[in-house]
Amino acid sequence: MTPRQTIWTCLVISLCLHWLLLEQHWHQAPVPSGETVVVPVNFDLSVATPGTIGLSLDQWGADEQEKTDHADAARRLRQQALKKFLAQVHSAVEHRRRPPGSDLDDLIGNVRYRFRIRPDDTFSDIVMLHSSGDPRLDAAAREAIRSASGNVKRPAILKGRSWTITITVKYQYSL
Amino acid sequence: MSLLQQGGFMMWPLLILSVAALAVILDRLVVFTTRRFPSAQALDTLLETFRTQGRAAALGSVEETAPAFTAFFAACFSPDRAHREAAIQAAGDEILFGFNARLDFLSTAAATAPLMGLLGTVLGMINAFSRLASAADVDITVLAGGIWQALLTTAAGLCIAIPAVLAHRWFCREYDKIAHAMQHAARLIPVPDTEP
Repeated sequence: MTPRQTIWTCLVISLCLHWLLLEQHWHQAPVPSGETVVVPVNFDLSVATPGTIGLSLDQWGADEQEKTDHADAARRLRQQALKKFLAQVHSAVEHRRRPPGSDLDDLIGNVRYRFRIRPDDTFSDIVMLHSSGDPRLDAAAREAIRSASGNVKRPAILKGRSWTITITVKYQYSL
Repeated sequence: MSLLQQGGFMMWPLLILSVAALAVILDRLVVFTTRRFPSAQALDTLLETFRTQGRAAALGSVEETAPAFTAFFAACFSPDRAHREAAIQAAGDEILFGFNARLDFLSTAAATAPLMGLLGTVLGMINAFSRLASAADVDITVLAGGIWQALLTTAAGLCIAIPAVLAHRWFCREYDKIAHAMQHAARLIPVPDTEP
C-alpha cells in the first residue's frame, strides 16, 4: 500500500469512527410521565381562590405539614387533589409551550402569566405579568395556555371551585 | 438535537480537525508499527550475512525483513568509498523524511484545537449573555443552558488535543529511536573493499 493509499484509508476509517461517535446518544433519556414526555421546564406556580392572595404550592405543602397534628382528612384530600390537578395543568401548558413548526430554539426568556381556572376547567382572564422581552415567546406562552384550556379535567372533589394561578414559562436553548 | 448543533458553528471546524487528526494518527501508527528498523540481533545476523555471502545476499535479507530501509543498507554496503557517506546520508534523510511526514500537522492540531474550542465557548457565552441581556426576567437555569452548550466546544477541543499530543510525543520518540539506530548501524557496518 502506498503512503497516499494509507492516508486515504485512514481518513475513511476516521470519518466512519466520527460518524459512529456522533450517532451516539449523549443525552439523558427524558423522564417519562404517563403517556407524554416531560420537558425539563420549571414553572413557578401560585394559586389563590377568588378574593384571596395567591398561595404557592410550597406554602400549601408547608401548611399541610403544620396541620398534620389536627388533620382534617377531607381538606387534605382536597389539597392533594388540587396539587395533582395543578400539576396536570402544568404539564398541559408545558407540552404546548413550543407550537409545532415554531422556531423558538434560539430564544431564551421567562414569561409570567396569570389566569383563572373556571369551574368548567377552562382558563380565562389570561394576563401577562412579566414579558420575556421577545414578543414571539410571549405569544407562544399565551397560546400554550389558551390551547391547554379545558383539556385538563379536575377530580370530582374539586367540582365547582375556581382559582387564579400564576405560571412562569421558561424558554432556554433546546430545553 | 445533536452535539454539533448544540455546540454552535465552531463545532464544524473542530469536527474537520478531529477527522484529519485521527486519520494522521492512524496513518503514522501504521507507518511506525510496520516499518521497524532491524533489531540489534537482526543487525548482527545481517552483518554476518554480508561478510560471508556478500552484498546481494545481505540486501536480499533486508528486503525480506525491513524493506523500508533497503535504500539505506544499499548505501551502507556500497563499495564506492568516495560517495558512501553521502549516499548513506541521503538515503537516511529520505527515510526519516517519510517517517516525519504529517507529524507537524499533528502538533499544529494539538495546539490549535483547544484554542478553537475556547473561541467557540467565548462566542457561545457572548451569544448567551447578549440574549440574557435582552430578556426581561431570567434566572440562573436559563443562564446555565447557554453556558453548558458553549462549553461543549472547549470539551471538543480538548478531546482532540489530548490524544494528538500523546500520539505526537510517541511518534517523535519513535522517530528519534529510528534515527539513532540508523546512525549506529552506519557506524557499525564496515566499508567493503571490493564487491564479493
